[in-house]
This record gives sequence, structure tokens and C-alpha cells, in this order.
Amino acid sequence: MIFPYLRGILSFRKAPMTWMIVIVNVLVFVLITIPSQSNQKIVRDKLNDSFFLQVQGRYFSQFVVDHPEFYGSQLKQIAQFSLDGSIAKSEVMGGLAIRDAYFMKWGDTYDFGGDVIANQRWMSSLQEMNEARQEQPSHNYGVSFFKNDGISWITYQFVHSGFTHLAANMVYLLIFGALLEMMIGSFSLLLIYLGGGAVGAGVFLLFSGATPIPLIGASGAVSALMGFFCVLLGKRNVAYLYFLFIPSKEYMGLVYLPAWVTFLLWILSDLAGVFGNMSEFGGIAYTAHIGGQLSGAGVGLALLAFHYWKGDLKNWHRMLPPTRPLFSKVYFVQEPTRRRILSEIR
Amino acid sequence: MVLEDQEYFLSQKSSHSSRGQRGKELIPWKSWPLAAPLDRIAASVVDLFIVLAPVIALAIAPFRRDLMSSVLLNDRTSFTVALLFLVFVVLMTTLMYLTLMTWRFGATLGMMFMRLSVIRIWDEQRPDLYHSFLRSVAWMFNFVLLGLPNISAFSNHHRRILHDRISDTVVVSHHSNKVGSPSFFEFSLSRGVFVGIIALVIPVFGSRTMQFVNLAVEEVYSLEQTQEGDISCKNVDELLADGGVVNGQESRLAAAMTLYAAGALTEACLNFESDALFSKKIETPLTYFAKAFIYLNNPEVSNDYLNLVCKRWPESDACLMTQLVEKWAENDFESVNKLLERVSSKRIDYLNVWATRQLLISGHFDEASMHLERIPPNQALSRFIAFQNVKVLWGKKEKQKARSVASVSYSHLVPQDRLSMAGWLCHQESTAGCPEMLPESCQLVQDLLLREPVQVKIKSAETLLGYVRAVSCEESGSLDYPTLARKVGPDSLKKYLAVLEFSKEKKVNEQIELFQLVVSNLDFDSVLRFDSQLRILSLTTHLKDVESIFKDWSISVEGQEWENVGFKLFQKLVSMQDYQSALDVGVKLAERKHREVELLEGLVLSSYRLGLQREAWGLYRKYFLNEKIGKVQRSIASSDEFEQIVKKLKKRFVIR
Repeated sequence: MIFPYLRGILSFRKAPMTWMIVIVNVLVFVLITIPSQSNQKIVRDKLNDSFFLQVQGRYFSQFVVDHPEFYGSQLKQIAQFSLDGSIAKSEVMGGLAIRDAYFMKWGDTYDFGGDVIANQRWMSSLQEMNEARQEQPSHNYGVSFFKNDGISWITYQFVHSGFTHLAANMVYLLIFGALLEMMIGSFSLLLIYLGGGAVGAGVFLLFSGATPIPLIGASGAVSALMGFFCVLLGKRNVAYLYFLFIPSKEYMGLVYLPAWVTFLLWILSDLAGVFGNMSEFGGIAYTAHIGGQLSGAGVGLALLAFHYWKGDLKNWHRMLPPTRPLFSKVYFVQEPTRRRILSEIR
Repeated sequence: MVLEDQEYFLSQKSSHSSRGQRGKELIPWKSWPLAAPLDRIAASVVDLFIVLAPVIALAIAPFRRDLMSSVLLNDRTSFTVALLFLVFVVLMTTLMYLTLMTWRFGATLGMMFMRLSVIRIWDEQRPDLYHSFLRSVAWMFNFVLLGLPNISAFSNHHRRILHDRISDTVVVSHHSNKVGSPSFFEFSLSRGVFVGIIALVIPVFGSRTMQFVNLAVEEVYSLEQTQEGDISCKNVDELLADGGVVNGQESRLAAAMTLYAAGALTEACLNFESDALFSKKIETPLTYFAKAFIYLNNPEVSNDYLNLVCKRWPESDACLMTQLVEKWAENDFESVNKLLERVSSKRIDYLNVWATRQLLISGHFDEASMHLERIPPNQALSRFIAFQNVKVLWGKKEKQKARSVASVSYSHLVPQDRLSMAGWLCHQESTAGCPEMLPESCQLVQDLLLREPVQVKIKSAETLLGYVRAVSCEESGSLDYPTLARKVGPDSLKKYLAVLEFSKEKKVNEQIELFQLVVSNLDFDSVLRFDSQLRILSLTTHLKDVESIFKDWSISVEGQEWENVGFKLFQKLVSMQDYQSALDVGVKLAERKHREVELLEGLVLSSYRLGLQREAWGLYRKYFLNEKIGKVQRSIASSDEFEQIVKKLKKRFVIR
């Protein structure tokens, strides 16, 4: 396994803006996300209730058949299976229904037939679920088909769904953000972070279709920083942390590889996510990542072009961190060497 | 490959023959800085997980999506095509990467990472395209051979693995971690490991793989059979075409309900039929009643549907049926009988089918027979009628007649249904014990399982238990559990079979603990739990175990199996001198027309020993002297003690 390490996580003194962004994210998580866990549980319980899913699935299938212009051929086929009596397919459609903005908007006013018990139970469950969803930070601060005003394009970047989501984004933010902040300054970093995140939201809305599931998380913004960083450093070798599943000193440590490797690995996995998932099942947040990466890369290219035009590209390169030859390694157990090299790259 | 330069090789041979080490004859005029085996593994890790994994993930993404959609759309052809493409792309991507990197750079990225490279043994240059290709194919073939060729890295003189030898190459290291030829110890150890793996692991792995393949083939086959089998939504059309059901506008749904009650229609089909009416905005009591059955696993929802039926249509047949279901659930048989009398004049087929099944389960054979006769004979219900007829006859103790009816019915049934009927009969035969068992039905089960060209599966607990007991009654009665497990359908039956196999090797108290786990696990069928109770009763000598079964038994649903366990429980309680519990069990059994002499004698005995002489006399008078319910003939095996007690009772109560 391999992860970008660069200069590791730098101190608050060296990268104050990066740490401020991290602190805001953590505060939002502690003060807003954690208290709303009970609402998340209500939504989860509803999505595990097979009767609710079956009824909703049949109604959604009816809705799809009645409004074929909104939907793709695969969804129409699954809907037909559900209407032909398949209980399993009804449950699948029930899960997909909450991802469909049209159904969520007009479904509860639609006449689905005579089963009053199913109608009553579905309506009350749906109402309960929608109320719980409206109390969730993702609904209030996220970007979605229903809520895509200018403010939510910024606020969504500070809300995370769970601890793992938050931790992963913050670690990458600290690694890329801290180094970039030292190179381009705090204000520029904030601008790229927020701007890249906003572009990510725009790309998400462009490709997501009519989904009411909101986009949240700093992934788009962090991807922008990463894209910017990779363009800026290009072929320059930077430190990566590696572990090759062999518990011996030669097989774990730091290795120097070109910066563009990060961009390549990141965008490959995002593209695989985009092409590997049916659009009805989501996988749409990958588009936000790609949007962020491309916007960051675009800004990086513009900056390089500007310096080239100014004729001070060589001076600009002097600002970059020290490097070592390709594939050169630093083993963790070689304490004196490790210290020497770590002090050198910092 | 090596032979093409044999002349050169031969010319070098003499100068090195004195070294006398294995492998030196093949190549050997130079000692290269060889790559350490761990470095080579690390290079493979880099290639597979860091380089190839993301590239392959992207390359197969469209096929992954196709796989997902074909599963959702039940499209087997698309699934197979997508799977084949996916495998092809994975293989081609790997092959191209390895070949091109080795050809152009003499090392893959993983090798570069570990500072290794591939050189030809003849000129120490990087291999050409052809040899790179050969090397890559052989490298991938290593996976097919479970990585066994990699052991050569510890035994070959130049640590050359299969793919190195095929392509006349050797992997050398450019950093300090280089190694020489393997030591004698390393060589011997690796050969030992290799021989050990070949001798032990491969046969086991091979047989397991074959078992897995057979199992997969059988699963696929049985899946196809189920899809093409007789349980299909078309049965509704057949029943309507036969004129089997008449009930006005709801006729189609009524037909579906009848078939569903007979086990000849899936839940999905019944759901489809009821939704078809709802989607036309037609609300009928039967539609809601059908929904209550569809959602039986969700009692809250099911009750909502049932309540609505009687609230909106209090005079409807469906409301009557609703009340019937509710009373049945409460074990209120008096009300059940009254309700059944009310509907006896009407022709409601689904009710008759349902009542037949329920009455048979609870052991009311005469009533079941009456309802069975009211079901009109037709093709779609023929299997159900024949099967229930056998059950009724058996329940009424007309065993020979039941066997004859079954024998006639077998020829009209498909193999799977034949197995179900023969399995049920075999189970009933085996309950009476080995000496009284007639082997025909069990023999048929065995034939169907072992010799039938069409694959059949054991789907009911009765068939499984009947077969297991029948084999244990045979003189050479050893059961091949793994083979039988492959013939078993539901998971709970497979688990029970595993419990039986596992318990064979265990001590008595461990066996009891194992069967107690089955009794307390509601995932197991009630027939299996009753069988476990019987096994515990035959094994235990502790009153605590028997009392625990007594508690479970008291709250269990009454039926044939319940009676069998009850009788054994009664015998055990009497032998352990727990007369109070024995009396409770015995009275319950006697109320259900259980007329075994041993039971009734035991009842009088228990009552007397508890000091309840008046009650003992009452029981004796009721069962041994009462002409109305049929006097019980005294057994020749009646104990002297019983004779003494009867004399004392007569002396006390008759003389006065």
C-alpha cells in the first residue's frame, strides 16, 4: 500500500490556515453531526423495514412506468419486474426511490391505488423519515437537487457523515494543505480549497441528475488541493509512505516517486467509481472528486503559465521542497538516517 | 529453450563439473547478484496492488456495472458475457503490463521499486519481446498452480522460478539486499515443503474443489428446476381453466388463494394477483385477506390487514376466514369448530384447503377428511389432494390404505413431489421404531436420492429425518453425511445434519448440550426441534433436562410430533418418579384421544402414587370401564403393581 507523505503533518505554526480548516470541520462534526445521530438511526431503520421498502418500491415502479420520460431503460425494466410481483425487486426499487427527486417531490401526492393499509403505513413512515432527514446536517448544509443555492456550495464542505469520512479527509487535507500553505500562502490555500470544493459541487449537480441525496464532505476541496499540488510539482519526486505486507525493515518506510503518481492513482480510482456503478445506485460523489481534482489542476496550470509568462519559472521552482532520486527509500528502522532525512525535508 | 544453446552450454560444462552442486549443469558460468525471494514477493505486491489494481479497476468498471445490472434484470446471458469480458480484460491487462515492461525496461515497476531487473542468462541483456511474453504467461500460470513453482526461488541454484526457466532469464538485484545460491539447508527445507504440499494439501484441496464444483453445478441445476417447476403463476390460469373455482369478480384471486394455501403458488404470485386488483382501484375483502397472508412474517402489518377485513366487510367470507385464523392462533378449537360449521354450506375452496392443512397439523383427522372431500378434484390441486389424503389415512391409523394410496399416487407425481410424499411416509414409518417399519417408502427415498437421473433435493425435515432413521435401522447403517448434505436444500436442514454428524463423536452430556441448542433455536423447523427433544430424552438421565423439555413441550403447538414427544416424555417422567409432571403430560395426551394402554395405566399409577386415589379411580373408570369412549383392553404386560392398585381402588370405591 502507498500513500502520499510529502513532509508529513506539519505544525500549526507552519500551516495555520490548514489547521483552522481542520478545526472548523471537527467542530462541525462534534457540535452538529454527532447530536443528530438519532435522526440518522430513524432513516436507517426505515430503510431496513422490508414492508416500507416493498410498498415504496411498488409505488415508485408505478411512478416510473407512468413517467417513462424521466427514467432510463434499466430502471424501467426493474420497475416492470416489481410490478409483476417480484418482492425482491420491489425492495430494490424502494431503496432507489429515496434517491429520486421527482418521486420524493411528488410521490406523496400521487394516487397509487386502493390498498389503504399500505398507503397509510407508507405515508406515515415516509413523513417520519422525511422529518428525520430534514433534521440532519446533510440536508441543511449539503448540496442537492433541491438545495443548490450559493451558500450550500461552501457549507457542504464542512459536514461529514461519520468519523471515518471526517478522519480520511482531514488527514489528506493536513498532508497536502500544510505543504501547499508553506508554498503559496494561507489566503491562496483557502481560495483554492473553497473554490475547488465549489467546482466539485457544480460538477456533482451537473452529472448527478435528479437526486435528493445531498453531497457532503471535504473530498472535493481536498481533491482540488491534490490536483493543484500534483500539477505544481509535476515530475518532481516527493515522499510516499509505503507498506508491502512483509514485516521487515526493507518493506516499509518512505519512497520517493513523482508527484503526478498521486494524481494518477486518485483519478483512476474515481473514474473506476464513476464507470463501475449504475447511476441509479449513486457513485455520483466520485464526480465531485473529479471536479475538484480538475479544477485544482486547472488553477495549477494557470499559475505555472503565469510564471512562465513572467519568466520567473526557475525562481518559482526554488520554492519547492527538497527532493531525492526516484525510488530512493528511507526505512523507518534506520533511526539516524531517518532523522537526518526528515529534518532535511522539513 | 535452454537446449538451443546446448553446444555452448556443453563447452562450458567441463570447467564447472567439479562444483558438484545441483543445477549448475544448466547454467553456470557466472555467479549473479541474485534477487532475494522476499524482494521478489515485495515487487509482486507493488505490481499487483499498487500498479495493476487501480488500472484493472478502471478497465473492468463497465463490465462490473453490466454484471450488477444483469443481476438486477435477471439476465443470465448478459451476466455470463460480462463475466467473460471481465476475466478477459483482467488477464489481458496483466499480460500486456508484464510483457511490455519486461521487454522495454527489463523490469516491472514493482521490480524497479525493489531495484531488481530481469536479464537473459546468455548475454545478460534484457529479454526480447517473445521471451518477455513467454515469461509473463508463465508468471500468470503460477497462480493456476497455486504459486507452487515459486518454491524454486529457495531451491534452484540461481533461484530461477518456472517463468525464469521458460524464458531463459534470471532476476538480479541492484542493491545491497542481493543473495547467492540457496544453502543446502534452504534447498532441503524447500524441497521438503514442496513434497509435503504435494502429498497432503493438493489431494485435500483437489477433492474439496471437486466437491465445490459439483455443489455449484447441482445448485445451478436445482435453481433452473425450481424456475421451470410446477410452482408457477401459470397455475392460476390452469385452475381457472379447469373451472375449479367460482366466486364472481374475485375468482382469479380466489384461485390464487386456493393454490397458495395448497403450497402450489409462490408468495410473489399471490402478491401480483392482489396488486393487480389494487392497481385497478378494486378493493375487496379477499384482496386484503390475501395481503395478510403475504405479510405473515410481519405480524403488525398482517394484523392491520386482518382487522380491516372484518371492519369494512363484517359479513364477508374473508371475515369469517379471518375470525377462523384468529381463533386458531388462540387454540380455541371450540370456536373454530363453530365457525367451520357456519361455512360448511358454502363452497370456499381456499378455506377447505387451508382447513385441511391446519386440521391435519393439529391431528383432527376426521374433520380434515371432511374438508378434503369438499375440494373439487382438478389438475392444479391433484398433488395436494393426494398428499393430504395419505396424511388423513395415516392419521386415522389406516396405515395400509395410506401406503396403497401413496403407491398409486407416486406414478402421477414428478420426482421432487414423489420424494416429498415418500419422505413423509418414511418419517411416519420410522417414528414407530425399527421393528415395525416397512421399508418401501424409505427405499423409494433412497432410490430417488441416489439413482434418479433428475436431481431432487430434500426440502422437508420429515424426509431428512425419515431417511436418517431408516439408514440407522439398517444393519450396515452408516450414513455418508457429506454426500447427503449435498442433496439437502434448506440451510436449517444442512445445519441439523451437521449437528447429527458432529454429535456422533461426542460424549453423552455434550450431545445433550448440542441438541438443547437446536431446541432453543427457532431457526430450526419444529419437526427438527421435536426430534432433538426425542434424542435428549433417550440420552439423558437427569431430571433437569427432562423438566426443561416438559416446559418447552407444554407451550408447543399441538400436533403429531408433539404427541410423539409427549408420549416419550411421559414414559421418562414416570420412570424418574416425577408423577405430578407425568400426570400433566398424560392428561393432555389422553384428551387428544391418545389411547395407548401404557399411557393410561401410567396415568392411574401416577395419580395413585401422588395420593390422589379418587382421581386415580376416576381415570380408571373413564378409560378402562367406559363403554362410550371404547374400553381400553388391558395389556398382557400390565405390571403386578398396576393390578394391585386397581384391586385397592376397587375395594375402596366399588364396595361402597
